[in-house]
Amino acid sequence: MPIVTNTVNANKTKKEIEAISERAKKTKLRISDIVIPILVVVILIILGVFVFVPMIQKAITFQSEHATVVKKEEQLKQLETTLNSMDEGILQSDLVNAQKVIPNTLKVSSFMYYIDNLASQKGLNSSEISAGDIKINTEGETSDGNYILGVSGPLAYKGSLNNVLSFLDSLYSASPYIITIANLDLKSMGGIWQVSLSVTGYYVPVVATSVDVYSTFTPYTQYPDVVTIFESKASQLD
Amino acid sequence: MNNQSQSEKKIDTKVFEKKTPSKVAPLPVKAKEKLPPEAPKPKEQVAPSNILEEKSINLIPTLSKEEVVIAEKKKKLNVGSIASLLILVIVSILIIGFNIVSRMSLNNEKSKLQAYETEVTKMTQKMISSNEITERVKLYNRVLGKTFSPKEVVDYINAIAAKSGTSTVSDFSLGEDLSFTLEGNATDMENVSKFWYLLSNDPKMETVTLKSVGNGVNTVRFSFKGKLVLNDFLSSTN
Repeated sequence: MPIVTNTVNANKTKKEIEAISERAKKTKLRISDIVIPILVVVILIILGVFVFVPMIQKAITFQSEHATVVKKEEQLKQLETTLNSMDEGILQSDLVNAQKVIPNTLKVSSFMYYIDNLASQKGLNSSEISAGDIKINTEGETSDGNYILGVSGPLAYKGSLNNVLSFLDSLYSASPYIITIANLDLKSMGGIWQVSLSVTGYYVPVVATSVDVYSTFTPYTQYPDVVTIFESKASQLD
Repeated sequence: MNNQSQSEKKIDTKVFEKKTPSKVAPLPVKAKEKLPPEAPKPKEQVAPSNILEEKSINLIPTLSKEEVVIAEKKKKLNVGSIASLLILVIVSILIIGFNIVSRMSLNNEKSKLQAYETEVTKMTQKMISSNEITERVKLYNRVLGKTFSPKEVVDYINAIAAKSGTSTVSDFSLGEDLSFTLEGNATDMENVSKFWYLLSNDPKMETVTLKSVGNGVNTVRFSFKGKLVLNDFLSSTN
């Protein structure tokens, strides 16, 4: 009986020793134990560099694009409000008036006829009259090219000083066209005055333009005084 | 039986006194079962015992300090790994979420913008008409912004000549910037000099110089060159 007990105890002890050595082995810090944390860190870095950073960059791009779109939206809202505030009927009427005063095309003959007619009404006699189309540089002030189109020519009339001055005044104040005077010369010749000058009338040709809704839009209603002048000048032509 | 349990209790107490508190193998189950129900439970007495029931000795040694430290390290590493994974997952969710939300928001705004564009495009004719008027208004302001009434200028110079006495102007040349050349005659030099003085001291005169002066038959001919202040003559005839 004791022999059996001893054998059993020896077996137990052996098993326990094995367990102990196994446990001791397990408690040792091995490279395999830190592989997973290191892998996780490496994956995190790789993900960060190749996935997260581009994703964040893209998201930031989305955000900035979003801001741009919102800005555009605001611009369109404002434009819509401005356009809605314009009465279609009044707009068309103002456009007709403006086109009468500064027409899409100004015939040399019509313009010269008007000037000569005005001079005759003021009691002046024509001594020289000629005209032709011109292009004037405007340093980019018009939308279609860098020039303004007009009809210009040297004129000379004779008459009394009062008539001459009245004629000059009417050219500006009473002319239905937009006119400028240059190289004005007044000469008295024994009580008769001769006026020689260059007169230019302007026109804006029709240009087929596509409207960009995002371009800066200036409503014509911002210039009510000039629109009124156009209206009164146009009424003279009717 | 009672005696036996008492003796075991004594042995246990002894063991407690000797041991250092550390993580060790738990008491064998059998040993626990054999304890009498009324026997006081050892407090935190999960404490190790090297003496096994059945009169044998527990050969499983307690962990050494180094082993305990390594075990702790392992535990920490495992916790660290889990935490890293958790962070990875959370960060991924956050970034992807941010990206998705940004994209959705952008798409939403884009569709809104498109709706506005459609709405505004319907009103492009209004824009074209308004732009046509605005272009003419700008041309008008540019062309007639710096014009003057020739009548007003001639009348003004004639008035100064009349103040001087006998001086009369027989030739006016006016430039676009209101530079002028005057030619005329007076009865004597005194009137010419008076006229010159008046011109020179006139507040609306920017510059004036006597170009020439000469005696004629009963008259003195003179010629002046100068410039008027444009702002003082800017047209009200526009």
